[in-house]
Parts: sequence; C-alpha cells; structure tokens
Amino acid sequence: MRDEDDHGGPDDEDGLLGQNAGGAAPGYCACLSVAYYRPYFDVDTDEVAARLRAALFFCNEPFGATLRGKPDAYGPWWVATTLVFAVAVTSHVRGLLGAEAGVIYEFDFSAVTFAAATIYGYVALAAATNWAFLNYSLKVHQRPLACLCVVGYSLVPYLAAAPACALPYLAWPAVLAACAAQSLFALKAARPAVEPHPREKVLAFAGATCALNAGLAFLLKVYLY
Amino acid sequence: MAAFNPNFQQPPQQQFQQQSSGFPHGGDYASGGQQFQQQPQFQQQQEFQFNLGEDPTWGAQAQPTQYTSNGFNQPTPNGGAFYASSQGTSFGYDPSGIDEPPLLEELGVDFEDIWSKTKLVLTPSFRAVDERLVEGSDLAGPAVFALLLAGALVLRGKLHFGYVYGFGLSSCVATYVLLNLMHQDGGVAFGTVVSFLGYCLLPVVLLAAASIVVSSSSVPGQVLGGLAVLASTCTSTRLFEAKLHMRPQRYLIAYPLALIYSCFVLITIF
Repeated sequence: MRDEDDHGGPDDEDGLLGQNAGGAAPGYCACLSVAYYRPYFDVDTDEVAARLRAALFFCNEPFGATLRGKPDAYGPWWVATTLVFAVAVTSHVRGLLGAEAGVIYEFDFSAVTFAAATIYGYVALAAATNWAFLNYSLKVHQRPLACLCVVGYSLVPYLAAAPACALPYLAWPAVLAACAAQSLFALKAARPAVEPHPREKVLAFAGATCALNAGLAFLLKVYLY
Repeated sequence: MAAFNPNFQQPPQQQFQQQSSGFPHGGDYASGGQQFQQQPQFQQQQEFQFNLGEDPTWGAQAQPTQYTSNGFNQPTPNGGAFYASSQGTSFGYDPSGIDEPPLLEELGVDFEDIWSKTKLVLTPSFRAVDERLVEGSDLAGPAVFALLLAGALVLRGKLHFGYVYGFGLSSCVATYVLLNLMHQDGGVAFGTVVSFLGYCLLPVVLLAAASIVVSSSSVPGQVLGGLAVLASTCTSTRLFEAKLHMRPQRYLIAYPLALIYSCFVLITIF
C-alpha cells in the first residue's frame, strides 16, 4: 500500500508503511548531511510521550496506530541511551547493596561499555533482522526506520525493570517480565503486517524476535546483575 | 620622547576633535582624553591620555583649525598626510581609520549583553526569555565561565582543564547535531550552541566554588549538585526554546541538556 504523501493513506491501518523520507540533496553524499535525517526527528514532546506510554501499556491499540505513519529516530536513540545508563547505574547499586559490610566497593566502568555494546548491538541486530524478515521472507514492505522504531520503543519495559533489578532477589523476575513484555509488544506491533502470511513464516519471524529478546535478557542479567 | 602608552589603539587625533581653537601645543592633554564621553562602551579612556606635549614632533604638526567639533567621524582633509609624515604609522593603525570602532566593540564584546545574560542564568525560572537577548551569540562569556570552572577545580587540587575543554567541546558538537536534527525549519549555528551552553555553565561554576568549602560527597553537596543541574538545564532549555521557537519539543531537548550538565557536575563533584 504505497501512497504518495509521507503520512500513509487513510486506509493504512498499521501506519508502518510509507514512502522513503525526502533527502536534503540528491546524490550519494546526501546521507552524510544532517538535513537528510531531519524528517526522522520530527516529533514533539507529546508524541514521544504517547509512544512511550503505548510501548509500556501495549494492550490498547497497535503501535502502528500510535506512530501514524511517522516513525521517529529520537525515541529509539534516547531510550537505548537511557537504558545503557540505567542498567549501568542499577548494576552498580546492586553490587553496592550486595557487598559485604566493611568492604569498599570498587565500581567498574566496563559495565557501562558492556551495557552500551549489548544494547546498541541488540537494537541494530534486531532492527536489521526484523527488516530482513519482513522485506525478504514475508514480502511485506517496511521502512528500516519503522523497524528501528518498534525495536527501540520495545526497550521501554527494561527501563521500568532496571530499578527493580537493583534490589536483591528481584533481578530474575524483573528481567524475565521485561523480556516477556518486550516480545509481546514487538509481536503485537508487527501483527497487522504479518498476519495474512503463511503460518510457518510468521512463526519463524516470531521465533527470531523472541530469541533475540531472550539473548538480550540473558546477557543483561548474567553480566550486569 | 612621548610618554605614550604602547597599547594605544586609537588614532591620537580623536583626542582633540572637540577643541576647535586654542590647541595646546604643550602641556595639558588630559582634557583631550576626557572628551571621550561620547563612547560609553569605551572602557579604556584613561589609557589614551598620553602626553603629546613632550614630543616636539606632535606638537609642531598639530593644526587645530582642521578639526571639527562634530564628533569622531569627520575625517580631516589632510589627515592622511598628517600621519604619513608623522610617527603615527609606527603605531600600526590605518591612517584613515578615524571611523574605527573601539576595540571591544570590534571584538564583539558587549558587557551589557554579557551581564544581562548572566543575570538570566542566575535567576532560573519558567518564564519565556526575551527574544532580544538570544539574538547575538557571543563567546566571550562562555570562554570566561569555562576557565572559571577549571580554575575553581584547581583550587580544590584537581587539574581537570582537559576534561572541561574536551567534554565541553564534544557536548557542543552533540547538541549542535541534535538541535539541527530536531529543528525542522533550518537549524542553529554552532556559535550559538557554544554560547548558550557556555552561559548556562555558570551554576556549575558556582557549585565548583561552593564545593571548596562544602564537601561534595556529603548530602548538602549532592543536593547542591542536583540544583545546579536543574538550574543549568532550565536556563539552557529556555534559551534554545526562545532562539529556535521549539516550545512543543521543549522537554525533548531538556533531557539531553540535563545529561550534559549532569556530566559537568559529576566532573566537578568527583
């Protein structure tokens, strides 16, 4: 369903389909200019707040309807960055709380770099996998930005779970709950686009998504908490 | 020899433009310097009262009838010839440079503007900023504040000049990229970004100064640190919002700015 204008047509239910964003200058070097990426950041505070709420409470309406054909890159970038800092800080808080009395807790900055590598790597890998599956296996036309948007906003449950992970005995339940919420959100967001396709391919897509999410949860829990 | 000030930048003829008659060849040139009342921004008036009377060359060539009393911007008929034949060219200024603005104005240093922006930073509130304040982007204030921050840290025994410069520059670049991405109608100049971020560093400078006497690892010190972050974020968001008319995106730019100032406060506290 390709429409001429950028916002998708009125019958574009999931809102994730659309034209490529207009670039600043033609040619191969356009992607090196800031203006090329400007349409990807065309959001207000209210819109971002609505998307964050939709990511956390995903039972209401499909994420595509919240996007309204205007996926943004601001949300994924800052959710991922905030999660890196939140995970690193709560990891150290957990270490501090778990340290024995009288022992000076030495904090290890490599937690920040490991968290950054894990989370940014997950976002890149998951977005690429989503896009490849949808475009090549399921033959559903999706913009890479829309996939990135879904993957980025799916990290919001981890933001909510990070403070809980700092407390003893709550790490595993919190991480598993966040992983489940993330997977459900991602599958629900992709559902309008993949539903009419053959069952095996849909299951393969769902399996890949859940495997990546489980990998992220495992890495975060084992190495940082 | 003329006891002149080697830092003198103004052509000496500006001193005697108000005197249309009775040009003093010798003696009192102090009154010449005091004729400078037309330039309120001109801070260095006192330096220019050099005593021409001791130099026979100047005194002999002074021709009072050629100077008008209308002000500084009236070039004299043979002003060029006057200086070409005198020692004036040894000062290194343009012979016809009677129209040159004072040095600080030429450098773009406007103390009134700096003071009004400093007052704005020191009084955080949620009101919108007057747009006239955000028009110019001057780098003198921010440069001074960055040096003050590093200097205040030196007073606590920490040599963090490199961190302040390095993180300051990288945060300016990052903010520049972010604001240009988010502002859909054009963008913002790098100088403006540096200027606003630098001015809003003042609460962090005050925190660094306060942490000389208040231990920063204690609870009051950390509360002060939090307040400094809030004040800096508040003011810088207001400045960018006024400059770029980005009110709907106010909190979206406030969050990265809060992160930047948190890093500065962390450098200061720890």
